[in-house]
Amino acid sequence: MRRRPPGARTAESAGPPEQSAPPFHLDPTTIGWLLRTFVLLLLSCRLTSGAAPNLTEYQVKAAYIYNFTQFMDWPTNAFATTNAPVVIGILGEDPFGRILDEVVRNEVVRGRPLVVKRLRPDEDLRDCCVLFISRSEKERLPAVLHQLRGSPVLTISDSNGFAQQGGMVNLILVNQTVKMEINQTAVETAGLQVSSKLLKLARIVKP
Amino acid sequence: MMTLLPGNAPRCHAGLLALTGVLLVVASVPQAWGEEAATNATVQQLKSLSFEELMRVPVVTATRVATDPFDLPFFAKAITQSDYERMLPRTLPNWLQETPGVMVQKTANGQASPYIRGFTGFRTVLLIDGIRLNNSTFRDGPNQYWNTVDPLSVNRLEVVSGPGSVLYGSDAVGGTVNALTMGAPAPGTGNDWQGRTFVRASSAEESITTHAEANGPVGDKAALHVGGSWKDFGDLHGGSEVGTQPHTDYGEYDVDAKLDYLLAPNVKLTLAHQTVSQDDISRTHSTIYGINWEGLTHGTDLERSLDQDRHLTYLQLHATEMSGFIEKISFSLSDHIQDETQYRWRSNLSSEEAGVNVNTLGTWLQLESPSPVGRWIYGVTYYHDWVNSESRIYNADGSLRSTGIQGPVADDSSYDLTGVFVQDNLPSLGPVELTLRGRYEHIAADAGRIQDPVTGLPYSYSDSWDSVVGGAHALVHLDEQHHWNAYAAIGQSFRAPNLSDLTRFDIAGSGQIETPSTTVEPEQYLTYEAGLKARYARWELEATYFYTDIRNMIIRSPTGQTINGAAEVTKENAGAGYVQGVELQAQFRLLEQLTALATLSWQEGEVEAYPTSNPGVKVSEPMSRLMPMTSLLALRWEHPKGKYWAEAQCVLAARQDELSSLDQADTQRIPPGGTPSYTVWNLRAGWRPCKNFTFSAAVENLTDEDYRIHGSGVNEPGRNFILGADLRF
Repeated sequence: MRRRPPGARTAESAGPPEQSAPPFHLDPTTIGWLLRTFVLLLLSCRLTSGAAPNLTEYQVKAAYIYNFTQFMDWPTNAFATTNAPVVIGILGEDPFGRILDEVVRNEVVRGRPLVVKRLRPDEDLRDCCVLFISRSEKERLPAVLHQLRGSPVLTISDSNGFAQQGGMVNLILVNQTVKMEINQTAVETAGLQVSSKLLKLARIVKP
Repeated sequence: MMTLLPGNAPRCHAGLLALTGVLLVVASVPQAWGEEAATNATVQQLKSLSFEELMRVPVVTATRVATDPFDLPFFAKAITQSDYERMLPRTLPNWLQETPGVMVQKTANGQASPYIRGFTGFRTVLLIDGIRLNNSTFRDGPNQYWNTVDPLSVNRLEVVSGPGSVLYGSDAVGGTVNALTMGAPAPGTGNDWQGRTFVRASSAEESITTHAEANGPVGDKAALHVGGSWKDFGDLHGGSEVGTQPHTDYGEYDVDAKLDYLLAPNVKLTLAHQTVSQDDISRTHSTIYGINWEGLTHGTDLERSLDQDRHLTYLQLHATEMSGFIEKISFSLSDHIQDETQYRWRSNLSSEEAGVNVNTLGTWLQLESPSPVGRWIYGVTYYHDWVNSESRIYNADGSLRSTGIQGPVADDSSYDLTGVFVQDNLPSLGPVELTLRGRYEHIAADAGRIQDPVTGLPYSYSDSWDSVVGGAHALVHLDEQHHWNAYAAIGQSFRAPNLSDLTRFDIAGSGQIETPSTTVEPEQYLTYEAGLKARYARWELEATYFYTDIRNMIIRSPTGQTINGAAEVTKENAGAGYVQGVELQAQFRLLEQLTALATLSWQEGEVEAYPTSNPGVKVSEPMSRLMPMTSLLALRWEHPKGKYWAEAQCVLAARQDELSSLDQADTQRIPPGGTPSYTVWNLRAGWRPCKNFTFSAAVENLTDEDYRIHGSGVNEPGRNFILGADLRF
């Protein structure tokens, strides 16, 4: 513990309460310093490399899902009407919060609006075009994939071994960056077409 | 002056009441638990990234599965860097001030103690990266310790209101806040070193805060973060009537560092350290510098100030995505040193010096396992305090008069908390999700040197207790479109007697002196909570009701004796009572870039107390320093690309005249008759001229009103011009 010498403040040095000062108390010297600092910081916009704030894991995964809707082709029988939306379903615990909704808000893919829907296990999963299956559904995964077999639903997850078990796209964390695994056989069996450019970027998994 | 509702709360202008009603019909804060609040700029950035770019972006991962707060069966809120940029809070407790149900009381300019659902101090828990800030010396009532965490070292605050003892142990009665600290981008991603500088200046605080940090890789598998803050706070200026509040200045510096090392892609080892040092924090209300406002009195001390130092060092291991029964492991080993010294100069020029040094060894292990009967979260925790405490009294000439056997608490003491907990998130039963949880805790105290209040001689005391608590939460999805959720919860919490309860020998309230007690048992609480959440594309709403049954609160009990002219009080488990409240928050997107927000907090409660020095007279009276009815209304505009934003805000607080006997006697902090109501208008704006530079500005308390947070020892700032500049490179 630090010790302050006794009597360091005496009655004389303590004194009566000070008189009130004006509430706005920045003197010209301080104002000038602040203005000069502000101008220097503005100039630094052009000089520095421009490091952006970190993105979180699920912000990046939301961006992946959004990009998938731009690079996938669904068969015409995947939609009930010509202007039916592209439904992105989330099954299980939702790790995205608001970010997926905000990324797809007001976005359109080939004339169809993008919508996000949270699903319960007893709902018909085939109403979706894209289905993100949360890690919380790991135990039920075989049943879920069996239910969707042959349906034009792009299944995406971030669980270990998802693609090997028959899922289509797995978003995996490698050295704190998000990479893709794609089960091309599962994609083609469902009648979906993936851009060849996308296939070149992903790690292709064989079940 | 604007006032609020009829009855005990002040009356309101009709227009403002109507506006409040409209805004309360609509939505709530759309922040994902564990996720950074997405500004328009972030959303635009995400949309613009190609697959190739997404594959290169280093990400910040949550240490647990992130869950949308909309799907949580209790009130929870994530307060993020976006909120910091908007609010420019001076301290970590101020960062919480917009949270429903939270009142940030300030005994001094350098002290701040959040009241969460009616409880503060050692009935709330602050965690730093999951490590307890609370130790066995925390005293009853508001304290200064939450202000010893530098908000610029914190990335995000996770707030859980209500009982948290099952997961977090003793003290988690009113609520728990986990401060998750800053770190470096992930190792091995090929990123270069990055830096950040931040400056905040405030006119009414006469303050300058500067912060700098750097992050970068160390080889392929490690990454390092270092940061530091320097803060100079001048005398605080109140409103137009109060003006300068003298001797409220203080200084602070902070340092933090964190090294992350990847043992494997899914296994991370972290070594971190943080230091906070504060000097000369004056508690002016008990000195001749206390202000005269609304009939307040002030003390006669010439000086009463505090030096505070805190050092935390920890090693943590986090393993995720493991195969086998255990899917996730988290382990922590920490050493936490908290050191404080109080100086006091009396009017007769005699002085006192009292200090406490606590060294806490902490460790915990938490595991997660999915199973056919649900997802299990379980683990063990252990904390051990070594405590030294001393005091000295000096004569007017500076010579030593006496050395105390103890300081504010017993000297040469130890304290142990050992806990085992388990939580099961059961599989969904249709639209219903159920969570069950339980905890066993063993507490042991060994007070080495206590001053006998009668003989003045030293003695020692040891004791131990056991506590078992449990809880259940249920969440019901009310509609198939997932727009409405309802929840209900029942939870036990407890607070074990600590060294302050057992051995405190200090000034309790004004004109009283507290002597040690050795007969107390753990306090027990039972909380019921129910809530409704609604979320649509353009509006969201959350409404919560809680009721906490107080079983055997440890309260000050007069002995009928006096010591040095002050009434002697000690502690006993004699306080039964309750506290209940309502928390509302809503948000409505009026236009694509224009959002209206509103919150409302109401609390009411009573607890038994001894209002006089007569030990035979016990009454049920209002809980001390209960939050008055408070509402926040705001209108926010944000540029589509996130380059600019602006916010107009109005904070209304009702008069608080529901006072306990302790509140009524504390005329240095609470004006006679209660703390006046207030209405405060704030304007905020931000500008991002390029993606690495953010400029924020605020004019708070536009009308220069004199006001104070209920139970505080200083008034809040008057008209306050705040500037913030954040540069990343």
